[in-house]
Amino acid sequence: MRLPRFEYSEPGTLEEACSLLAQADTKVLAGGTELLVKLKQKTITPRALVNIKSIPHLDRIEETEDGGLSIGPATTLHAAATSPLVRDRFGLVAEAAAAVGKPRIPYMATLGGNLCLDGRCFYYNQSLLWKQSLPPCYKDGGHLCHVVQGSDHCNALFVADTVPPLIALGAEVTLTGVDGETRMPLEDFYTGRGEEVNVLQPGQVLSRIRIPAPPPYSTGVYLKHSLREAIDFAVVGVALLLTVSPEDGTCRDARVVLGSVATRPLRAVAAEAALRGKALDEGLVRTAATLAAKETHPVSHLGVSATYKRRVIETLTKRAVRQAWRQAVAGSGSREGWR
Amino acid sequence: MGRLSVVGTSLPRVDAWDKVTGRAEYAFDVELPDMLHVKVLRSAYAHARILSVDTSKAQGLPGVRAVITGADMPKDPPLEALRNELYAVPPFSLATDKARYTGEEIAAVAAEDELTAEEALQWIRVEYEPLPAVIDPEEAMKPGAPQIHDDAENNIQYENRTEFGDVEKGFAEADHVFEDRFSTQLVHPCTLERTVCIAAFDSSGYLTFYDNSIDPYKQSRYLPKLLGIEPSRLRIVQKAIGSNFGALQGNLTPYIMCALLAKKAGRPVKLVYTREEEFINAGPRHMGVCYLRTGVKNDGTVTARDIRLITNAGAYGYLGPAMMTSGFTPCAGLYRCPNVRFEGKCVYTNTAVTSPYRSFGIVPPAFAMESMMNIIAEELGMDPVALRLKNITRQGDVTVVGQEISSSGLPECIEKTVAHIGWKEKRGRLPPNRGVGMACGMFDSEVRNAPFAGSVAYVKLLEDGRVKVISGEFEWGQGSRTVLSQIAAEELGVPLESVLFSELDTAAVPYALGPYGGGPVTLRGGNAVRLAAVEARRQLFAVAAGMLSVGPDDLELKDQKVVVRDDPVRALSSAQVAHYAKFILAEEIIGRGHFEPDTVMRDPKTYYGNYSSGYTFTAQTVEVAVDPETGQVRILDFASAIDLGKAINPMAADGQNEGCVGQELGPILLESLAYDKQGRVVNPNLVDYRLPTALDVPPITSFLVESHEPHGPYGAKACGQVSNIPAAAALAGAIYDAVGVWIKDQPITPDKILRALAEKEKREHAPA
Repeated sequence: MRLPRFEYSEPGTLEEACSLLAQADTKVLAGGTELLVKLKQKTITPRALVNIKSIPHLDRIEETEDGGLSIGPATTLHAAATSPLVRDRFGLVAEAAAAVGKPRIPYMATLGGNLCLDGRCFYYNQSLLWKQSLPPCYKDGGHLCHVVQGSDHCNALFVADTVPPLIALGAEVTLTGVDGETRMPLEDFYTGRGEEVNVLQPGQVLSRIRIPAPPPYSTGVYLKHSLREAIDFAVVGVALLLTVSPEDGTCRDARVVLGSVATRPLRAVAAEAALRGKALDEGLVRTAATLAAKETHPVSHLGVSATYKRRVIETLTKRAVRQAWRQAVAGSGSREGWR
Repeated sequence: MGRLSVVGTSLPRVDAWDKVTGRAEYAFDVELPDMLHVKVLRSAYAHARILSVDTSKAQGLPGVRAVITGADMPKDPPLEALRNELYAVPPFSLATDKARYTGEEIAAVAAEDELTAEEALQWIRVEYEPLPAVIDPEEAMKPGAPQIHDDAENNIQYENRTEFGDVEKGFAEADHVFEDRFSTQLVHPCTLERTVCIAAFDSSGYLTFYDNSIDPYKQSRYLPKLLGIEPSRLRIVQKAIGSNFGALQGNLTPYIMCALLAKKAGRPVKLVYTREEEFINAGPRHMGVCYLRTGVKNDGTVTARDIRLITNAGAYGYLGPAMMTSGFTPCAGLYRCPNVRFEGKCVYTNTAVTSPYRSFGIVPPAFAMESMMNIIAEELGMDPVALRLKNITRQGDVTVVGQEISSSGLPECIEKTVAHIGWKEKRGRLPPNRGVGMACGMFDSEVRNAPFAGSVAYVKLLEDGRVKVISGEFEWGQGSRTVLSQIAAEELGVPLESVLFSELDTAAVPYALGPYGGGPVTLRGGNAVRLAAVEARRQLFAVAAGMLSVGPDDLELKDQKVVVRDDPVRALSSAQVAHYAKFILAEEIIGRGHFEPDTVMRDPKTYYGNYSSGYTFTAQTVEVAVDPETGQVRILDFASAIDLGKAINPMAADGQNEGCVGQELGPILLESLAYDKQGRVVNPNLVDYRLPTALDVPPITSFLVESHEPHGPYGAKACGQVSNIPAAAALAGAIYDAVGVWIKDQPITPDKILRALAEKEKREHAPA
């Protein structure tokens, strides 16, 4: 399959990029690892591509004054995974970045691209020729879903690895458009609608990712389960940020975020609530894991059954809590409020 | 036989340097002047009547030079004649009245560039009347299932029943009878290189194909008849091949399409499949359902076996019946059980035409039979190794289906792999969730599937002392050219790098069967090349004897010199002799070798006969760790032993052994060509079709057992497609040893393991 014809530009500034993107039928090109495949398949056929990698400084990782990080969207996943700034204090993000289509994709793909990753589906992500006999689905502008017969919405799966850890850490994103900037929690960036996964409007670019300093006495984990050692999207990804009380070791706060289980990254709020304020023990770990599995409603998708997904959510949540807890106990002697 | 110097040595492949440096020329690399590019419109439905195909708009597009549909196909092809001559006719035409699988060819376009051709497809209007489709062979056999072909009731393409000994008596003698169902799924070989076909007519109407075909000689026999061209006006030039593994062996449709388009456009054309087309069109391995009953005595002696095998042919029948025969006979021959019954059904389904992907049909029945041997051992409280040793066929046996076992190193294969894995210390004694398993296998070293099952080769001594091998035994990537060159080098006393190999051109190189059906190149081609080289040496001595005025018997070959044995100062270099022969005597030194195995074709009804001049054996052991909470299987160690008679190139043989296991781990644990209910392949790409990656293949320890096959060159047998045969049963056995559940349908996914564990728990906690 060949790339179709399209217009192409390399803007020098964000403003220029935004005005180009405000024109009809234009897409952002960064790493291209998802976009170019879709183009070759003619899943989408945009009129023009705007390469934002030509904009200076959009691939920078910087420490912010409040002790957090500011990351440019054109930062490659490899750079994010290996940067000491990310690795040392936001290890769960580094791990997730390294796990995206490893080992080769992280060298091309960008963090911004992973955040803007579209939903995936056995029907939507096919070539135009493959789809010739199919009535269009919700995501293609039609009125049905091929994955779940009778469903009233699109079920394309949100599978980006870096998003659950970033949401667990309370990251924010900046959207720059022709009319100025908007900042919002990353969690609010996602619509929950498979048809249009995020809130980006024409003429807008995700221009910055900010991660606040992790709370004192917190520790984070990202666990990804995939069927192969390389390439695969997650069957399930679980991110956890666990904050404990240094006095009595109880759980002060927990943020559990699941990937690859729904049309958006999903907070396991019941599991979080169960952990909050409790003394951590094996019974609590099991309770939280069971709740996480129960409060999600995965569908059988992309060759993985819903039942299996549930089992893996339970297992990974259990393991994430245990691992974070172990790290917390091990780190409790340190001075500045270990992470 | 004296001491060997080139044969038996681990030498780098003769094509390794060219391949790793990108210099090897693949069909994809061939560019001809004025060449057009071909794209194919494929059926959007798994099963539909084609009411009309309108190509007028596509034809009018700028850059489009020719469009063909089913209406352009050869009229009244001599199918009966072809069938009589070649037994089975592969798919060769575009659909006309009906499409029978998603991906079937409907129309093809030749245009100035690929993108134009691809765009033109969207302008072809096809009016379909969709029909219900059926994907599963057992469903397809049921009354009321959609009828795929008018002449095949219940969609049965082929069925056969054969019995040896007295099966009922065998079951009556048994102390236990085991019965079970096993199944395997559709999987795709995912060759590194995609299908490529180039067709070009020259000014006098001669047609040349450049391709990566796996069976150029057979194609060169079908195609003239289908295209209405004299055989001498058609040739196929086979370029380097980026692996094949038997995917839709001999599919003729690309050739026919390209020839018709080249003719219509008056220009050469090139067709390159996309990866998606590979998945939906280029023959997956069939799925198989095997119902198996086995009778066994208390001491482990197997007394009777009753095998019922159902496979899917796909939308058109081609090699399904051959795969059935080829799969059943080695399974029957592996053990001494004298009472065997077999009932096979090959069923049409609305899927791509299925192929003999690695090991020609044996994977479904072998998985069933070897799994059942492990289950029997467990139930009888016997060691699976002891059960095997009690029942295996031994050297000197004539098996129940007529195989004459002229060599077998199976006991040594078992011994080596069992020792490697630490079987005795580990079986049933490992910590929780870890386990070991084993299984055995057998396959033919070559096969008589046609009246001529031999090989012809020429070996030429060139005037500079180099040697040229002219053989039609083709290279699929398995290393056959290296092995055949080693044999020529051995007999003519030259180093391997002095051997050249002819390019494969069906108009210039002698007819050969190639690796078709059993990796027989080493045995058949090796014998032919050896005989040709021996004859070339005889000619060399005859010419040298005249030059030196001695008798040919007084000469010997030493360091590329022909030396008078009793007076070694009198010597001529091979080059001097070859030069003299060519330019003074005008008699080039060319040895011809012809090998015809002493075998028979299997009886088409009973399947009885000694169809191969040697049989290859294997045994494997594996250790796994299973995560009981995710179902994930981790292979900690894998040992695979092959009895290959003699390793002509041990390094290449180890590569075949390890590669074969590594590749099969995909179908066992990960891969499945997934069709939805409407008959669409939903994972036609390398992200969603989970081929094992380098990180998923564990270290594999290869053992080569040399049992010395009397019919093989230097004692060699085949080794290319045997190590994948027992791997699934060995792994299933290890998983049982680890977590106590048998998985009987492939792929053995984490999901299935967790479900089986949950059921086991339910059973164990159920009130009595």
